[in-house]
Amino acid sequence: MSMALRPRRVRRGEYLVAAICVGMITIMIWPIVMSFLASIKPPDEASRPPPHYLPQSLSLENYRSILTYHAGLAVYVGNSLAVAGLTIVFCLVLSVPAGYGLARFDIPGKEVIFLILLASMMLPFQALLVPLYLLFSHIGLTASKLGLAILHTMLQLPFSIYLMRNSFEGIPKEMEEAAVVDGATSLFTLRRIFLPLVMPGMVTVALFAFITSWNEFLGALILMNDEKQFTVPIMMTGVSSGNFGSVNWGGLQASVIVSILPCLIIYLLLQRYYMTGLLSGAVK
Amino acid sequence: MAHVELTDLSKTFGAFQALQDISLHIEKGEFCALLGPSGCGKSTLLRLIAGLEDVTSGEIRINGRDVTDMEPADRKIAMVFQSYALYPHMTVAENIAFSLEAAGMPKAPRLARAAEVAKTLQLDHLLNRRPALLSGGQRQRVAIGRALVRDPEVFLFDEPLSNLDAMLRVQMRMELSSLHHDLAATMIYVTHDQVEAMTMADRIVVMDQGRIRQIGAPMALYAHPADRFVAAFIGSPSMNFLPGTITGTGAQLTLDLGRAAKPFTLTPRGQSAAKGPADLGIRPEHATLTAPDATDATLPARIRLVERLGNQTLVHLETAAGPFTLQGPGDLPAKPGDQTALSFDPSRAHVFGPDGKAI
Repeated sequence: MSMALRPRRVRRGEYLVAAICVGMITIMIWPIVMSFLASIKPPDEASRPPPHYLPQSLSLENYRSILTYHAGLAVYVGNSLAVAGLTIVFCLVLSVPAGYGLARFDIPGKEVIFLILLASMMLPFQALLVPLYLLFSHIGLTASKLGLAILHTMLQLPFSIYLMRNSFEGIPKEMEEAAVVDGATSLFTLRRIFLPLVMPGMVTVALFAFITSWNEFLGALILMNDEKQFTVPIMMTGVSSGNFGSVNWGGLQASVIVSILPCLIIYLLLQRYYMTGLLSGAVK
Repeated sequence: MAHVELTDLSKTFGAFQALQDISLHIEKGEFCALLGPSGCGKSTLLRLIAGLEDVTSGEIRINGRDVTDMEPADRKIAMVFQSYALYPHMTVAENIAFSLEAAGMPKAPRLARAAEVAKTLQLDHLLNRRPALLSGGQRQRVAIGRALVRDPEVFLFDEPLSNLDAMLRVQMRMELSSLHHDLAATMIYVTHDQVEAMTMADRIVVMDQGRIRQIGAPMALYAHPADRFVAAFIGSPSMNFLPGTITGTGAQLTLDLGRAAKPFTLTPRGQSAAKGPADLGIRPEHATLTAPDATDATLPARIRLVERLGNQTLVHLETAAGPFTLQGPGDLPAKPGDQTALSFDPSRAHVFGPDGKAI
């Protein structure tokens, strides 16, 4: 019997790696499991000290309460989806041509431009909020989903451009040259050759833009001063304040679970593209 | 009038001179190979002809038209790249029809034309496959199909066989040759493999360090290399060079290969010779083994290594003038350690002066 047909012996090192992975996953999943367990307790049991890990009785009361919280969960989820959707569109519309240009054209000083772009990621976002608020209120973009989406795009754009540049650079130059010899214009090449090939990168940009926008709290808190425009993270702070300064743990954990779901679903659906997108350009 | 005319073509990248004063005329229907080592400028020259690089100075004419500043698509050329550059998300049919799509041809006629081209390349059963599902040879054929569909005046090939394994390379070499024969198209073929150039080309342009060293038919280059570089590059195994001194000039040259060797006399072919140092060039297949005391023995030698290839034998020898490789028949009696002598045929020997030029 050939060596290839023999079952492979698992080495000790692989057990160690597996054990580390399981440990890390446990650390990461533990809070989510705790949140879920707390969310299905009756509200008074969820807030009762000392807390128990496992619910003594089951109840969907917390979920029912956030469904009808103030303007209603649907409004807040709708707002968050709208802002996240706009952020995705803005990020893609800006980062795809920027990445294409930085990867494929000989622009004078493009490396400096790229470095400045990346350097903007180092600035603490909180330091920018006050000037941004003043600017946005001056041009009427406060309390608007469009304004918040622009803010989220600003946060996400440097990373998106970095990702798209990598994606475009991962496409062999000969492929573009073949298209040039075949008489394709730059736009036709971008549409017919590049865009299908950088689709994993675009999916990754969209996914990150969605997660950033969906979870972003501080900018939304400062820009959105009308209750009907609130996004899910702001709703969650509202839900968490119980009577007389207490914390409504059950309601808070239910809204945590609800807010995780869209990210989780999108991540699982797009996982294949997302991994390829992150790696594109990294290895030849 | 030549079909492709290159006149005083130069190309610089910053301070680096990639090509210098290249002038070359390629006739209609000719298969011209640009041959040279890596970095000699052959691919750059092809890219200038294709229009993928700008010319620094000089002129390119195709079929009488000055195309020097023309866009690649307007030059009526097609190019096959080393990596094939197939579009991985498109089917074979879409890949072949891409240039027609870019030109705005409606879907039905362009796919019909692609199918027609695919048939000539025996790709018709693979039209709906993606490149990832094709073998190396099939991918190569799709790349050729993409060139064929444009009906170009000139085909440009940039080392198209270098990614294939040895057997497939031989097969594709024959396919390309028969394609050239069938189409009678002008083809310019870049390669660093002298076997490809020798077997396929009507004419070979040997390049080195951005300049043309020699242009000629394959056998002319083999028999009469203009200099030491061409002599070393054409032929496999490579020519042997033995350092010596010219002691007699005139109608017959006499070459002294050192104390151990007998003086060697031959008729000069190239530039006039002066007394002084020179190299004797002997191809491995133009030397024979003989007894050390035989009358035709020129240079005593000791056998270091014997490689039996079946139809031929390669014998690696040590001589007072340096190492020497000899190619003989498969059953050549030779074994490592044997003391022997080399005999050279003067009519097939070459002499190169101190400047490397043939004498």
